[in-house]
Amino acid sequence: MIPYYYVIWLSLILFSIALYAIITHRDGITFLVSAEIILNASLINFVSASSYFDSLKGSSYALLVLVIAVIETVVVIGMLLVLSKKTGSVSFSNLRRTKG
Amino acid sequence: MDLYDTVFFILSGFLIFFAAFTVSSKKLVHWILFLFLFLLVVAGMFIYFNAVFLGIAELIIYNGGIVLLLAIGISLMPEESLNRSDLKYLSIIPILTLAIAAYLALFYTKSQLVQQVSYSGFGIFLFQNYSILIAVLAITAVSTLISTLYLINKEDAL
Repeated sequence: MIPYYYVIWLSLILFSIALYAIITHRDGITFLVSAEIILNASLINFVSASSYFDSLKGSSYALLVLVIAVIETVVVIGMLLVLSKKTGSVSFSNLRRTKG
Repeated sequence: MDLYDTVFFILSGFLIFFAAFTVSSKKLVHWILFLFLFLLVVAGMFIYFNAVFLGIAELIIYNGGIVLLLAIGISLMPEESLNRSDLKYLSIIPILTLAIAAYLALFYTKSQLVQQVSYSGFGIFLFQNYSILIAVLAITAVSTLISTLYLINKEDAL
């Protein structure tokens, strides 16, 4: 079986790719996709830790994170939809025009 | 290196490839296609780690629900609003993060274990230990649904 740190490396590379995208783009869609990639990297980490350390805790956390990811996606999609109708752009730079 | 290790490296390669293409593709159709494939490989990775239940949940929730929701949500947005802006000069930050974390991962982790956990009592374990958390998440999900519907329907909500 592969060493555990290979999985950590994989999560790390996925996290770096998503972090690069978040930092270099200002639009909401890239932010959403990058958040999905980061969450999936963390899910891989949880599931692999559960498998390697012979505990169901990691898988339980992974399931809870999965639910939170769904909630987050629904909220961000709703916000982007309203933002695009209001300002004509999904860029987060336009958030300063909003009320809050 | 046996077949089991080879499968991990193939899945990892696909994951990195699809993640990189998802964040760098310019056309939205390609973006959704690569995200779909990325999530498909993540489900494969779960099944590789013997978490079949989570793999199927990933397939149903992410590939079936989230990707469809994203596709429909983006198609409802005005086309001119979907231009992607670039800030290339900030790319040094993730490179630095990767370098520091790689250094820590290389020198401060040990390879160990090699067990496969049994998922036969997963449901009982989940509801015995995290039942309150699941209830809180369920309430959060319902309130999120209601607030999102309010946000979309009310024109001047933002």
